[in-house]
Amino acid sequence: MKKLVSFITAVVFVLNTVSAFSLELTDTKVFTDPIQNTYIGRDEAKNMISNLNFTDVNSGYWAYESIVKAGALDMVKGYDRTFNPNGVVSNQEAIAFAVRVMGLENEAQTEAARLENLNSTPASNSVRPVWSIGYLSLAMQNGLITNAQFNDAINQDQNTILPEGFFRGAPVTREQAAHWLVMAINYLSPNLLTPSGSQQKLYSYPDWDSVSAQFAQSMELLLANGIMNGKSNGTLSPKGNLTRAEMAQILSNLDSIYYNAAGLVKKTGTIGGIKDTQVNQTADINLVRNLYVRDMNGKIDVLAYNIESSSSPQAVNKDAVVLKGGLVSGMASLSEGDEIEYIVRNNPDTGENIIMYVKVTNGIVEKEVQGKLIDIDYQTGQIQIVDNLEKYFVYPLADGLYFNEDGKDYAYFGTKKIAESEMPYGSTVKLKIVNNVAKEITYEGTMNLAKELRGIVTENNTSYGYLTVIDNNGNEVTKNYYAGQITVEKQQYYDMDDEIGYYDQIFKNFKYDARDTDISSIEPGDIVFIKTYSDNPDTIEAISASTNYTMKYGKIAQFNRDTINNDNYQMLMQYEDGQTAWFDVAENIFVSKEGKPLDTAKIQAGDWAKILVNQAIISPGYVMESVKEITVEGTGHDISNIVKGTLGSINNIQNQLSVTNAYTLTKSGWADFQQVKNLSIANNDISYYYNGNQVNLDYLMRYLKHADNEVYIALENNYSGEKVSMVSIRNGRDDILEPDRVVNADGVGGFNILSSSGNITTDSGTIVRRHGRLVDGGSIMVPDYARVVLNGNGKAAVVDIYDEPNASGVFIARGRIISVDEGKSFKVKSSSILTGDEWLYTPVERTFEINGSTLFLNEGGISNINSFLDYTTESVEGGIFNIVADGTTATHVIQSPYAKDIVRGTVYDTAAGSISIKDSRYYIENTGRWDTVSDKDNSVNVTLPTNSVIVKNNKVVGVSELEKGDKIKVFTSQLPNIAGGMTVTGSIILVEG
Amino acid sequence: MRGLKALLIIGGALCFLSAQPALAKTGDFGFFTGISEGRKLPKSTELLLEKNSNSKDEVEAVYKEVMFLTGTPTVFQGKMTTTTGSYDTAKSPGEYTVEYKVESTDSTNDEDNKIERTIKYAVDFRKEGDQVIKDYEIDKAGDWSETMTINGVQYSLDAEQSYSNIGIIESLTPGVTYYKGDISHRAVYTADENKVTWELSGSFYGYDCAWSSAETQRIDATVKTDQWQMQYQIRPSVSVGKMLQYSENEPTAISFSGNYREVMQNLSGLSYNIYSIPANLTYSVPATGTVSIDSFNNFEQLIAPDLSFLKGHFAEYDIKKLFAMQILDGQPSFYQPSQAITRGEYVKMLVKAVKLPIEEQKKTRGRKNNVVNIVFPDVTEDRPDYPYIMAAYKKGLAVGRDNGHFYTDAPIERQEAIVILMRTIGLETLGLDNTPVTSFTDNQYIANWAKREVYAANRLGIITGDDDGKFKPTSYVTKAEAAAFVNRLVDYMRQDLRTDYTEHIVNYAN
Repeated sequence: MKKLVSFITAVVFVLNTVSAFSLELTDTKVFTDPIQNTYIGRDEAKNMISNLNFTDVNSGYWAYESIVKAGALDMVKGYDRTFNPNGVVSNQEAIAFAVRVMGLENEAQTEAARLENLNSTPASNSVRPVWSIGYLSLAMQNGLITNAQFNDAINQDQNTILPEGFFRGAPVTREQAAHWLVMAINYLSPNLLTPSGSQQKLYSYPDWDSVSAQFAQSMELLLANGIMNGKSNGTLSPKGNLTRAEMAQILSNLDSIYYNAAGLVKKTGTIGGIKDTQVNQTADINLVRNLYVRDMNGKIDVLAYNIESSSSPQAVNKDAVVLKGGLVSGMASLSEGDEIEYIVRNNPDTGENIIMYVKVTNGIVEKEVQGKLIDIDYQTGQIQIVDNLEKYFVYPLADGLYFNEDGKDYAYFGTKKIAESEMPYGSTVKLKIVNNVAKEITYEGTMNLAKELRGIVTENNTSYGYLTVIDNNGNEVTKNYYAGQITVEKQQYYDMDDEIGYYDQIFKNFKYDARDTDISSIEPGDIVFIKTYSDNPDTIEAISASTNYTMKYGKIAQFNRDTINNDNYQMLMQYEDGQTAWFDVAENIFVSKEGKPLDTAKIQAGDWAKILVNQAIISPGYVMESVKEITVEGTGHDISNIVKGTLGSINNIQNQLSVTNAYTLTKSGWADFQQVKNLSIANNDISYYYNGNQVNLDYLMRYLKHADNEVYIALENNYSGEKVSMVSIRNGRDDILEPDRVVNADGVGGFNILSSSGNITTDSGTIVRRHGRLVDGGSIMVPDYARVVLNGNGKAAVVDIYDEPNASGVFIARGRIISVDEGKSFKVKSSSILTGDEWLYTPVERTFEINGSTLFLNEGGISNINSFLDYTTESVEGGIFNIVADGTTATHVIQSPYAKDIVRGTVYDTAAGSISIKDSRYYIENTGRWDTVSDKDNSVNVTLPTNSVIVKNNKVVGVSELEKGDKIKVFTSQLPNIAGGMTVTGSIILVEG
Repeated sequence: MRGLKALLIIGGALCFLSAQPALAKTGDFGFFTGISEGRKLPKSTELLLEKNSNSKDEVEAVYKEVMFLTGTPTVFQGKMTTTTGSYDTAKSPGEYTVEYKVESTDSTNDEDNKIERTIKYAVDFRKEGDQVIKDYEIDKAGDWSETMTINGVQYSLDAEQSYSNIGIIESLTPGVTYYKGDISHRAVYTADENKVTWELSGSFYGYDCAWSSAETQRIDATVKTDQWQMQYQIRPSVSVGKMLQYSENEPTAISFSGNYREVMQNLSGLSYNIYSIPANLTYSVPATGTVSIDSFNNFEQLIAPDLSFLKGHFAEYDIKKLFAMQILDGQPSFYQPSQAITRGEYVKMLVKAVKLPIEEQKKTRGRKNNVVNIVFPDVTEDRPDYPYIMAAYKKGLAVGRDNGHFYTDAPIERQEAIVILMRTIGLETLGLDNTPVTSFTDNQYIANWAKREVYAANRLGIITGDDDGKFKPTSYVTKAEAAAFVNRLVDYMRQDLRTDYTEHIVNYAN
């Protein structure tokens, strides 16, 4: 002992035999944490190891482990490397075993010595040769055997004993051994064995009735506590022999009961690190190996092993029996990371701490344990749980699994940070234990009552009734269903009702349940929870689904009816990052714009939209996307104006670009001259072109400022003000054509218009505005109506497509109402129809239908259909009205004076309730001529009373839909004195073509 | 501009320097369907100079509002003074006050049309984990007073009958604070003995990060009188972002060829849709409209390290930008783009990219006996990357590998890089599932712990597959690739987030 200590302290150099990198230690604190105990091997181990390598028992033998352990613990001995496992245990061996269980080994030795001393007196000389005398004596004193049996047992000449007497060398019966063992255990404490109440265990053996009545109780106790088991043929064989192997197994089963009694301690732990100290002392080489073990309580034990390779007979060799991988060996076979079970003897009297036996339980480097969370100690970094059997376990937490932040303690559950105040104490947690250290904590919650499968649908085959999902582990799982019997719950994305949940399942028909649906609504991409029948785990009983929808934003680059499937459309989306994707769009999906439903057919190329897409990943690399809903943007990206001029300065800090000699494109051509026009370039998706080739802002700033080129700029109607959308600079001469109809378009940007013979081409720098939206030349179609600005020979700089002005369709009549069919129609006796500049009288009785959308206007504003009566004082019968009619249906019935005077002009400004026009002329009825209002100020201000009406492109519109450059005709009942800037009250405003 | 300066200081202090996580800058432009010019993001140099303060501040900003009380939109322009009381986020729950004072006149010409409004909210807040709940209420009738004059008619608020409540939830992720709120007001005015009721209800969304911030409200409003009623939706939006611009130098004989500058760009505007209007105004009012505020943009020069040896490299501009933004630092000539980036270097880049607070290293080691402030045994205090890795660790970004080591000097796999990147902006939650199936052809090789983040990054367009549709989860990341990843993240925070919180809401009525 003294020598060993000096070896440990006299470190010459440290040889790390395990790993070149100490940092790769799994258990980083194993060398630094305080050492609780140091245990040392023993000298006898070398021989025992040799002995226990039995030739007649190998690792395949059922009791092999127990035999090795029993051997290592000095319980059973082998003879010349044979164990004789089927050898029969004698009465005295069984008694000795029982006494050892009682923890009276030392006492037995003392007793034997005492009896030996007695023997040395002449009075008695018959005792000496019986090795078991000490055990037998104690067995007698404690009532295991009677006095008579004792006397039989110590009788020198066993032949003199009566046949019914007690033969010490005779094989013990299994029931007798059981009884002694129970008595021995009860000697320790009557509470160690759990009584099983009625003798149920015993009755499960066919030969139960051959158990002697006085041993039945003991047999039952051992069976119930798993200490003794039946024979391999399923019988108890109570009167049969007990083999040595069986006794070794019983010892093993006794486990801690025995260890406690025998002053042994069984521990488990992990070898966290190994330190070798090689001491070169004179000629001898001495190796001290310290194995640092983190035990099950997180404490550090050191197992010391000492080999002296000297040939001297006094060579010290402190070793222990190690069972590793089915082989008996010494401590040299232990390596870092081994999980071990080790039995040590702790002798407080001698201070001896001896390793008796080490079993490597490897193969399980990692394990999962589950239990209720009891405590987390952040100071020591330990977690305590209790399992179902009320057994407590403490594991050290891995570094990083717990921490302190701002004075608060946290631990990681998975990747989630959980504060101490939210720690789920009392709930079940699962710990991933690696080398006895908790590496991961998973919250398990309480008892799991239902088995649910969660996954993402890849296929729902309603014809054959099966559903395939990919579960959380990435496995493909297919389950069957019967469409008629399955309960399906699915919340649609548009359904925000949160007042339904599980209770609609528990309380059926409680109220309207928007989630109830059928299996056909489950589609690829859905996230589903599946419940199967308890007796048929392959068939789905119920399913609850959630959609996996993604919102995508972009511009609809193309939108065409599918040429094959006429019910569908094909849509090319251009996302904000420039990527494009084709989608099939079903006719019946939800489409809306400005918060109102929109006909699918009215979606047009150039629209910006957000689309709701159901995305399903059918298999890696194969993604299926289908459009569920389209919301068309309001005016956010509408091209509000097109400007031309010369590129002036660019200020890229204030994000401004200026155009000098600027004109704005209006219905009547380039107008609104401004010397300098400042435009905002604050948005970052502007595209710049020079002669059709894309360039960047930097290029413009360097080479194209203040040049003589024409710059064409499309401005968009952004919420944060009007912003530049596209800038196109061209070298050619500007030439504006009169608006006309497109008669031929090749679909890739080339087209012809009716009034111009030449072919017109577009390039990517051409600003094509189609019904307000910026599109490419390929979207120009027959019979669009377009204003074309050429720059260079046949090259379009700007193509502005809008509704062809025409005034047919709706017409305006004026007449006296002679009868009203309430809510349905009314009749006028005769009427004047507004044609061109005149009201033409027709003496024909005419019926106009009215419906819910017909508006009735008078000076007080709108009244409703109910006020249109032929009785009461409100009766309209006999009154004269202006009627805006579409076919035979009156859309507007307006009480308004007869407006026959006309002013016409070009709109240059609008406001709520008024229109400003310029280039104004007025109609002189008696000459039938138009005359200018004034040579100096040619503007007229038109006010709009509530009973006025504006007709543009066959529709009654609001003033806000008038555009600069629109040419209008204003019908008024009374012209004021003609003067520049005069104010005219408009009754009917017609927008001319 | 004086007010704006005050705002800068507070902005800087709240956002980046306070040891305690700040509350988000919600409600920058009030909750009354108006817009302000917004606040500027602090410049990098300012950030270095500012001191920690949560004290009371007063901010004055240009303000515009569209008022519909007459049935037609009238645009008012003036100023809004926001006074925020002091608060301490360390003490949760807590309370403070916010007062909005608006003085505006008709933006066109009518000086007689004006709004004078003072509304003072008592704000209760509480912090629950990474979320903050705020509740705005008016304590007493006197805290809300308002008079408006429109076309000669005076509208006075009847405070006894008027109510206002705003509730906000904020989610604090390492790099971005996201928030959502709901508004409900009922304002009753007396005008010439008539009663006019203005009811607002709606919600708003916003976020706040080092590179941009935005808030957009979507409010449905009703104006009711005895004679008529109108309904409209209004969507005010204020955002600010730092845009990066490069400019080449003109002289040849200059020691650097060009540099980047950052322009602080504000966008303030609102968009409205009128759904129903008093009958007598049907044709004379446009159904939609917009109002915006022009603002003056500030800018700042960024450094121009010598990276001429990278000229022509695939990632030249990514690397240049990151050096300019000082997300990459150190000696540029030591920067080897084709070498593997280490886990420590990558985390440091991300921490700098989102400007996580870096704590000064404490002089004393540990709080309690022998508790050393070292979480990862291989990340010791003497390492230069120690504060960055600790900052990342505290936000849950940096998690050690199996045995608690961080493996600072080990190369990083692509999947690890994406996991950390997505957690930085807290958007791994878009992954739906813990182990979603990604669209990459090598999905099976992506570790289960990384699938959620990889899926989310793909969904946001931060990563796409290579020509074969592969993600290559276990390949190591080169320094150049890491620069591209981080630059993409910064771009995402500069631009994509901002678009999602502004245009994607303002441009769509629903």
